[in-house]
Amino acid sequence: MKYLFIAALLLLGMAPTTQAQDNDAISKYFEQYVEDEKFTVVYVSPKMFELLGKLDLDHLEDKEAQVAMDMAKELKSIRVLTTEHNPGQYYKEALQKINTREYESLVQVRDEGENVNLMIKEGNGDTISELLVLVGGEDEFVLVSLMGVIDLKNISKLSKTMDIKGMEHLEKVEQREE
Amino acid sequence: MKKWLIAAFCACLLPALVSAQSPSINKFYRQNKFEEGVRKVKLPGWLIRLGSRIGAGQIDEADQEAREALKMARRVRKMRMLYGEEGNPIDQRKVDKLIRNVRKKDNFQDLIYVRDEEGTKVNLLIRTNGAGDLIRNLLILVQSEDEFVMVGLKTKLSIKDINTLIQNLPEEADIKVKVPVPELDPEPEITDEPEV
Repeated sequence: MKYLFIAALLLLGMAPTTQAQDNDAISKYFEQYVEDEKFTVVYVSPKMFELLGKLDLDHLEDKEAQVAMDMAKELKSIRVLTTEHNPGQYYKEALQKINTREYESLVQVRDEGENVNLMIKEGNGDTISELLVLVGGEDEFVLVSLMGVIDLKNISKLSKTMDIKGMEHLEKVEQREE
Repeated sequence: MKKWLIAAFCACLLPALVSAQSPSINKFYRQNKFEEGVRKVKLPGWLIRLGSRIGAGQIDEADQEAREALKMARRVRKMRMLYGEEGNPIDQRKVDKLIRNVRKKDNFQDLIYVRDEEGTKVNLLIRTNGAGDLIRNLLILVQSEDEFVMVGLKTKLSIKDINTLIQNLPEEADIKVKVPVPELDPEPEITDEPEV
């Protein structure tokens, strides 16, 4: 009985460790280039979204902004990396370093030398806990990682409202839905 | 017995008062304020409140946005600012150390970090109370090849204050969550602290 109890404790202890390792792939990749001057970087932290969640933003005139704001309240973090230096090389490297098998492919497009990969990680129930966008072509490399509770139907409204370079690729999710 | 009670009360209060300060920002300000090319501004809370009251008397009654912004300014208890306009006068390693120290020693948390195509870096860090509904300190850093700006604010800004501001904004106000590089060019008319 005692051994069973210890084994159960160990299993419970391992669950968050495994999850932390999952998160680390993107975090490590982001950390690697966050100070590299070849990259432009945007990081919006969990604290920012925690504060946003406490604000009373339920009376916006612009309905699209209201939807985006409601969605932003459910997010935990946004990370964007973009570069125009050797985009193809960074795209390949990202695909190698990030364990893409943990994600479900949502959209995969190859158009005029540009590769676009949109991947999701499912959360509890029907929710999506992570959306990863990787873009690599002749012109630029883009990595966008959104964590939290993600509503795919309204993702383009978020990208339009937030006006962050690289996030325009999120609109491809809705193009797929159509 | 009364003295003991007062002493015990002061002892309980002291950590709260100390935690309202940011030793790392204070140290950075002290160490760099006399660097060549660095200009400094230090505004105590009473001066900010006085300025916002004078300002409130000058602005148009109908300008609701400006009135609300001035109300928010009254919640600022102290402002320290270092800036350099003709090149970045502060060693990058010193700024990196400041960011590390405020995170580790003073319990600041990152809100936003942006680095744009021109290499301009913007860090916005914050310290809140335990419940997270009161903003105690804000640190804004803007670094580029041409300029450096550090703004350290000690505030008593609550989430309730921000909600009141949002609710009192005119209906036509366009609220968007943007992550731009904030325009923090200091106004030249702000009087510098006298040299010691």
